[in-house]
Amino acid sequence: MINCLCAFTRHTNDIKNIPLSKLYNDNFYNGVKNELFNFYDSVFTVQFPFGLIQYFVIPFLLLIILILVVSLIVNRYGFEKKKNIKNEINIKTDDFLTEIIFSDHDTKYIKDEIKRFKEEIPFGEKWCKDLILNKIITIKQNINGVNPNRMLLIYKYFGFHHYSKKLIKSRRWDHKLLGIYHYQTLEYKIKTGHIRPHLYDKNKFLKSNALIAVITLSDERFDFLSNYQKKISDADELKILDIIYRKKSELPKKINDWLYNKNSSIVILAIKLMIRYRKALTTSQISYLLSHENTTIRKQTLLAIRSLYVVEAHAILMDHYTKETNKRNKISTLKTFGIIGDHKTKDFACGLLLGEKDLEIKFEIVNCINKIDPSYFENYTIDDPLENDIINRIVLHVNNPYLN
Amino acid sequence: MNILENFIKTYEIYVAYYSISYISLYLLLAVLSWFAIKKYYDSKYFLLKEILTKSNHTVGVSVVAPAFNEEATIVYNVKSLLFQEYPKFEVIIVNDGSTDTTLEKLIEEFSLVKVDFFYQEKIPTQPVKGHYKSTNPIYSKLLVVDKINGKSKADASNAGINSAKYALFLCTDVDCILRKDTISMLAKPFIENTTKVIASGAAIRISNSCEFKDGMLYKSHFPNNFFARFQELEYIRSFLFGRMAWSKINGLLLVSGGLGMFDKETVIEAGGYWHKSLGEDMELIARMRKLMHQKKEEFLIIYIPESLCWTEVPDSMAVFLRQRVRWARGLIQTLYLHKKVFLNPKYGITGLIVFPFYLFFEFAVPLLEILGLTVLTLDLLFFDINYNFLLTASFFVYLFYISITLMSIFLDQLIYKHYTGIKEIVILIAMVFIEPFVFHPLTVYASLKGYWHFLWQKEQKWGVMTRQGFNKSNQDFEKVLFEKNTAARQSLNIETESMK
Repeated sequence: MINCLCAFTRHTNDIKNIPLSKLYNDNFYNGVKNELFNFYDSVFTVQFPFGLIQYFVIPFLLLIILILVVSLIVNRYGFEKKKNIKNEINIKTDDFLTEIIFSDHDTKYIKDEIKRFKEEIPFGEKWCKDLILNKIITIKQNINGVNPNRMLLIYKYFGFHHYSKKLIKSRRWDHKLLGIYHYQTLEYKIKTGHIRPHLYDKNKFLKSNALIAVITLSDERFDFLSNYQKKISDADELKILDIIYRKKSELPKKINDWLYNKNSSIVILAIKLMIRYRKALTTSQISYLLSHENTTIRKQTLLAIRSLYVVEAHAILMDHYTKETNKRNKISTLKTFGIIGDHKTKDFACGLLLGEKDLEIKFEIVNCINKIDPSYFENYTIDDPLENDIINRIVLHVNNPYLN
Repeated sequence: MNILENFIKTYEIYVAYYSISYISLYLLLAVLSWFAIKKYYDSKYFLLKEILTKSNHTVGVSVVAPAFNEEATIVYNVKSLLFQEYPKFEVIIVNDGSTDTTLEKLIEEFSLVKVDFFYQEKIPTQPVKGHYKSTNPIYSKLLVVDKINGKSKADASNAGINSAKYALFLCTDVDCILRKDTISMLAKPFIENTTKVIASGAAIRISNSCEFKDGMLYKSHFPNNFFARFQELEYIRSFLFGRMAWSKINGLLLVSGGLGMFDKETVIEAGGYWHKSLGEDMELIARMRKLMHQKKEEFLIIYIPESLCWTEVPDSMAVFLRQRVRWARGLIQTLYLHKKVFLNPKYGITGLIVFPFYLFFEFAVPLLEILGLTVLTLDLLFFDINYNFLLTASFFVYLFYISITLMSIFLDQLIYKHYTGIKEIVILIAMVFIEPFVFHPLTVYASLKGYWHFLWQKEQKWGVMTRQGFNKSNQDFEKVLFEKNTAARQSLNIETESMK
């Protein structure tokens, strides 16, 4: 390999020393060709990769291994050494935060105390900052009755707002996510403007968390969604529902309009909000929603009828059952019958019972009839012994107190 | 002699190209794995685990754990499974015709009574004798299925899937100890992705020397046992390095039987676990992938770089070899069974990348290694050997192997800081250097034996692994579980009240 490199170097030197006119000379041209062939021959032999491995790859791998071994030991040594300090700071921080959060001190006192505390601990270290900030967030999220303004004040007196701002302004999307998380959990409303530009970001994680943060922080809260045109994922729905349960927000003013929104995600969210706020759907709304082409909208509507106990819907439901194409929604319709149904519904379900071949649906039909009229299957028998056995087994299942 | 010389020369050229592609592929996997792990941790604030564990709107999960003759540890392990922090789940223990007192112990400890469960055999299994539920509300999440032994974990798991009420199920072994957030961590990918996720998995660790308290990991130790030590290395490398990389390109062909969450509907449609398979976890994934490709539906199989499960591994040569022979046989069985997928563009990445990789690298490596030794012997006997080249090439391969293992360990330590103290790390590093000489030959031997058994259709046996049990403290377990259930009920009441 070294020979081949020498040949190549020699050859380039030759080219430099020759006048331009000579480059077109045939002899010289053949010479270049031959040199190149020689170079090619020397590279594509066993000697070349062998030399490469012997003089470059093996030393490189040895270096990598050495670095990895040393890093593993040093990293662990550092971790073990820091463990005690971290435990100590952990206890100190707990005591300090408990004192300033739950005592009735004025803001000046809190500010001075935080300044003093920061000098006591290695606050310049990233792990220390993260530890304190995470503790503030945990307390804010998990302890009822803490004053949010005081928490925000403590966050600012520690100077964490600069840290969060730096994260949001960073070019890395994971840093932005963390910064948004700080603002959202500590309810730093004044900074909503910093988050809004990310609502239509290409990065799905950033876009989603920006949306949730804006909902949490803006005063209009859910009204902001009226004009939202992007799809809301399952994860976003869960996050929004989490906000609903945590905060005591009002139901959006235009909630009835949301049900007719072109964006299916908004419709689904509207139904979920109506369930949460116990706002009943009207029969016309139910008719419209059950005829929607989106399966999830129909599923949520059925759940809403059940949860909100909309008894007026049973006639619509009977009509809907025969049109429903999705098996899960058929089962959900039957579950809803079981909750809001009357004797008419029972008769309707009885009509379905023997014709139904799918055991999962049959199970739900029996369950529905049994819920409306628990005595219906007491003396129930049919000619077909197999069918009779299936129905009896379902009845035993649905009546078992430990299974339901 | 000329023919032999030509054969050896051809083989050497083939091996040279093969080695280059093998090494390049591993480097590529390393890069992919790095990006997959980075993306996972970068997006950790996307959907916080706490939101899942507190929400009533999350997807329900059935935990399915087959048990066969587990009387020594069954009660403790079931309690550990019930300890999961997730709002909507059930634990299904399938007693696969145990001949010891496994069922009796469960009945007694959990106050079980036989119930008239309407069992639908969506996947055919051996007959189910009955279902049991607890009369104690603390254990309301527990369902025990008692069935006739089907001589395979697959059959028992299928009975559990048939009895599951939720849309997702988590398949595990009853002797596995799960981290308390296992369900939420594995369910997260199903919720986070808009493309249909059909399975998710995470890293399994070795519990042989770990300490457990109240059904949870208390202290993680590097195993003391000789075999377990090497298996720990192998698990880290395989889970953190290989599977994360395959997950990145949606090419996973294996979600461990010890820990995997699945979309129930897809599994049932694919036909469930195949009870005759010796690698039923890989075979199921292969069938699920095939199904999704045939239906032309987009899908994802996701791995997460989290240690969620601790399991006891074989600690003796005999049991270890038996397990590895079974795995090797499972691999060749799966590849043979689904041979039509191989290089078939109809099966997308599965046919064009995943199956060829498994055939040319996972399956072929032990064969090539033994062929290499044969060629070397022939060279020694009949031809000249360039010792300088041989030593350099061998040294290079050795260094490459250990640098890959060290990289995996480095990543693992950077993320988790498992094990207690620096001494265990030094032992771990030492094991990395001797693994290729001590452990690797055994795995090659076991693989070749597995292939041999497959070719000669030897009778399939599962064998028995004697469990050592866990170092445990059980006294406060029930109290904690009661408090947990009470807290969960209270939070549900609060939510219901607030809804009113």
